[in-house]
Amino acid sequence: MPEPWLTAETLPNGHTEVRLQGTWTLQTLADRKRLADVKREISRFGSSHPKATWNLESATLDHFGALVLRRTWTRARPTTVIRTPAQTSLFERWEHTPPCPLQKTGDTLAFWLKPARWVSETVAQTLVTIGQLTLLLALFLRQLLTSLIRPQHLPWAEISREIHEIGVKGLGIVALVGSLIGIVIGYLAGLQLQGFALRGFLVFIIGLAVLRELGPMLAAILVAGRSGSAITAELGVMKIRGEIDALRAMGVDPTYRLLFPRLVALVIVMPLLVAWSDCFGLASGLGAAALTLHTSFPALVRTLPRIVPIVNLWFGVVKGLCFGLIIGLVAAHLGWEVRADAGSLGQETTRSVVLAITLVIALDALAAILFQHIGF
Amino acid sequence: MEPVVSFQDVEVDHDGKPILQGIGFEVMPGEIVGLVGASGSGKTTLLRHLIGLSEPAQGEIRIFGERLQKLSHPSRLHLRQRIGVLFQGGALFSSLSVFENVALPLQERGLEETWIQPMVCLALSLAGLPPDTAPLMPSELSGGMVTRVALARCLVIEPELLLLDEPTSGLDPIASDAFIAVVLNLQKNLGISVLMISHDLRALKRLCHRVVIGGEGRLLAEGRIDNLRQSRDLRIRAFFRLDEEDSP
Repeated sequence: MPEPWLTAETLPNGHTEVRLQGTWTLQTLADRKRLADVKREISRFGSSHPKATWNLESATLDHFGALVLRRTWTRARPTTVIRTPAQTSLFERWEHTPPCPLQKTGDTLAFWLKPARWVSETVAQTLVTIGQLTLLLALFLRQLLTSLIRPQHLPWAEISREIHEIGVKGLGIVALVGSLIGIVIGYLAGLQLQGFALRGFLVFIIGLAVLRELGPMLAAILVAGRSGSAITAELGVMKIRGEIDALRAMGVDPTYRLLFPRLVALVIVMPLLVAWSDCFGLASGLGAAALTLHTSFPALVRTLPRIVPIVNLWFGVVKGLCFGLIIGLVAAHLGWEVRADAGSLGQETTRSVVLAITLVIALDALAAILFQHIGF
Repeated sequence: MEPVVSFQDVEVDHDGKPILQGIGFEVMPGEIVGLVGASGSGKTTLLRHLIGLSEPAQGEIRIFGERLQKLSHPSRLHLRQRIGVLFQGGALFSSLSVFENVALPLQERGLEETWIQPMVCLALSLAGLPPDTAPLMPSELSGGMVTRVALARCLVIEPELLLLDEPTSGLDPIASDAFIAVVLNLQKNLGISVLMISHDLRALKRLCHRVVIGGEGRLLAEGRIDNLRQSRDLRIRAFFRLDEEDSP
């Protein structure tokens, strides 16, 4: 494409004609440097030949080229412009194009009330979420009771598949993270208590920390990140693609078909994953402590049941069950909330993980206070 | 006059098996050509080849006289800046407003905001959209408006060639008619060449100067709709008989 340029010519009648040559289109003018050069040239020709006729007929022009000329001419508009009918219509189109607002119009009061609106909306949204989670829990418990009365109607295949997805496929990562945290606790606690002859105290710290807190928390965080997000995304995509409406249209209850098996699987799998995490946490923690204190690993293991009451194990396992329920309810609820755009899916999936972990930690803190006399 | 688009004996493979063979047709400057055929006849595949997203197994595709297969990556990108592509369903970015969707191709070229805003407003106007559509999100638009915003996104780059992939599918007759009117107006005023992939015979009849019919992995016929309706080929006759039944 020939580049845009300008020439000035004195006609036989003594008038000056500025002639546009080359291609004056978005293709040739989009480059910032060239655009600046072209604007400078137009201004230069405009000021050096103020009464000149501008002839555009030899140039290839598009809307952008016309816009550049219009804008640069605003300071010194030529008195006469020679142009083709097609070029004239380009300029006319600019004259008839209304400006478009970038934001929806609103009044000033609405702008200043924005923070207050945000706070009230957030509070209302939180209350609505809590209400909906409670309703979802009630619905699940009703479905569970109904299913227990008629167990032959339970969606066994779906439950089995979800147990495999959430539980079996999560065994490796739960074991790895449980072991690593156990090593950290055992090693650091062992270093602090070296030379104090407090072997029993060390076993108590490791046992209580792993069985009561770390085992359930680690399993919950990993399941929320791995499976909670997957449930939200899966349900969200199903909603966007209209699959949930299709189920409803077929007379199938989507909560029973899609939500119930996942919640049942989480309730079954989470206590098992907690126990699994406990095993690896205790083994690696006591192993690290034995190495640090130069004592025998079997001796520490034998000490464990005498010093740490077994109720701590059950306490952790029951907490795991509750955490599983929370993760499932949050994931399903937010999956249901996905709107028909790509951004919403990402937002709700992130919210699912963050909200589930936050609620799990809040419940854990509550349980620590309420059951402080149990297991010591 | 050099054709804007030229397919010469193009063969397209899928997993080593030829799915389209001997494809050859042209789109001349300022012409609206319809590419029609049954579902799965390879219309969208040809479009992908035309944009350079896929490579033909054999043959030659030329756009603006340049052989597509021989172009380097930067040259292809430069070439694509002269083509507006309207994908099926609009393919608007759901997290961006209408204004941002239309402005995106210009922002990618590094144009300053002061130039982008009037260009977007003009593109919306050319696509027949009111200015107050600009701040809306795609989720707030009807199907017809989504298609028009997608058209505005094509027009904002001042394309010399428009590729429309099923632009009227999913639109009601009124929205479809409005879209057809916009495209006709654009072609008349701006002289843009258009290759429209469609099986909407009503839109084809109103818009296209020429129609290319594909089927059974090759081109069955090419010509003006009026002439094609006189064809003795039963497959083509069947195609247009359906059209007659559809017509009011």
